[in-house]
Amino acid sequence: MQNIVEKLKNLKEIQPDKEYSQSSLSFILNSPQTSTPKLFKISLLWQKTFNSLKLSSSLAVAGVLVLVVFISALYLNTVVSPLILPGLNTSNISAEADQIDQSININLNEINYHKLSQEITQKTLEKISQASTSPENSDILSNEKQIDTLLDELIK
Amino acid sequence: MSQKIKLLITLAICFLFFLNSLSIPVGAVSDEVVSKQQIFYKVTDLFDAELKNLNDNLNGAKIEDNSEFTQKRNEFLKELSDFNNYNKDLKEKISNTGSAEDLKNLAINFKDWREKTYNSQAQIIINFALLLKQKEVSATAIERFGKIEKDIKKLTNLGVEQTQKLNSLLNDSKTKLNLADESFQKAKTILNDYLSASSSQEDIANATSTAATSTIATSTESATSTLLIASEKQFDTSKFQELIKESFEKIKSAYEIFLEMSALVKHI
Repeated sequence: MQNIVEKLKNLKEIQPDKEYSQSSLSFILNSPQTSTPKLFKISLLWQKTFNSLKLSSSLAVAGVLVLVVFISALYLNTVVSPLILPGLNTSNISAEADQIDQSININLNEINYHKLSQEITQKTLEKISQASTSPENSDILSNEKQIDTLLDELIK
Repeated sequence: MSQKIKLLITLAICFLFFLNSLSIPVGAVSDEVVSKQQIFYKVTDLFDAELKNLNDNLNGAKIEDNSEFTQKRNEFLKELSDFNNYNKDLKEKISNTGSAEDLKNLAINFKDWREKTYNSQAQIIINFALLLKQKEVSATAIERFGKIEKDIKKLTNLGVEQTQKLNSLLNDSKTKLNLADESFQKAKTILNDYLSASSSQEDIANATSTAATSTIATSTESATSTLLIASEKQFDTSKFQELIKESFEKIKSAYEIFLEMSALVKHI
């Protein structure tokens, strides 16, 4: 019995091998610490919850907006739409009437222009075909001026 | 030898006196030719401008593909292209002419050609362009009428009080547009009748003469055939233009009604 006690006492003095203890110590000290502090864990959880709340609230707001737009469109279509009268828009009608007036007047003026042009051409050709015409002949020069005027009108 | 020189000098002086007695100053002929050439060129420039204007009018009109007017428009455009070639030939001839007499004959031929061929045809083309423009205007007015009709229906569904008055005005505008169309159709018939009559006349003329319009008409044969066509074809321009103006005036009155309706709606 005494022998056993003795042996146990000896066990107290057992020490690890010096080399082994040093390499173990350096291994432990150099290995990365993976465990996180509790406080940090809590803050991370809170952040995640907050973010998910933010996303869902944004989605909710967007949903509400879409609903509002949809309801407004329905309202406009059923109630306000009959009051939008594109056909009876005064400025559109006036603009159209002016355009019509202008285009027809241009065409009617062109008819007169062609009549005048034909007359002047005929007179000028008559003058050219006369037996002798001096360059000073006033008639032919006036015809030339008329031709110039007509040409200017066309170029305008 | 000196006697011979004296004789030559005397003869030269006598010749100059002779020319002077004929009142033809030396160098005056070429001056006259140049002056006439310049004026003739201006006439051809004016002709060019006329043709361009007619061409623009035809091309500017909105026509649906394969409509009754498309073929006619293409024919007219082809004709204008022939007239254009004629004018180019004429310019060349003017520049090659050396004497006043030749220039005079050229002017006479051109004047005749214009009177017998071009003037009447240009008048038809410009009236055709006017018809196309009126058609375009009518289409715009009818489209506006359709839009207004839809608006009135909307107001009727809403039970607006003034709907009765608006409907009555709508009917008035419809009547105006119908009258405008009536005048337009009459004008169209006048032009179509003329065109079909002239095309059959041209067929007869082409059988007897193959004179092309792109060359200056000098032969008696072609001149006779064009004269025959001109005398047979009678286009009532004043009646045609009166109908187009009438149609246009009716459309204008329809627009006045549209504006009245628009003002009425503002007070609802």
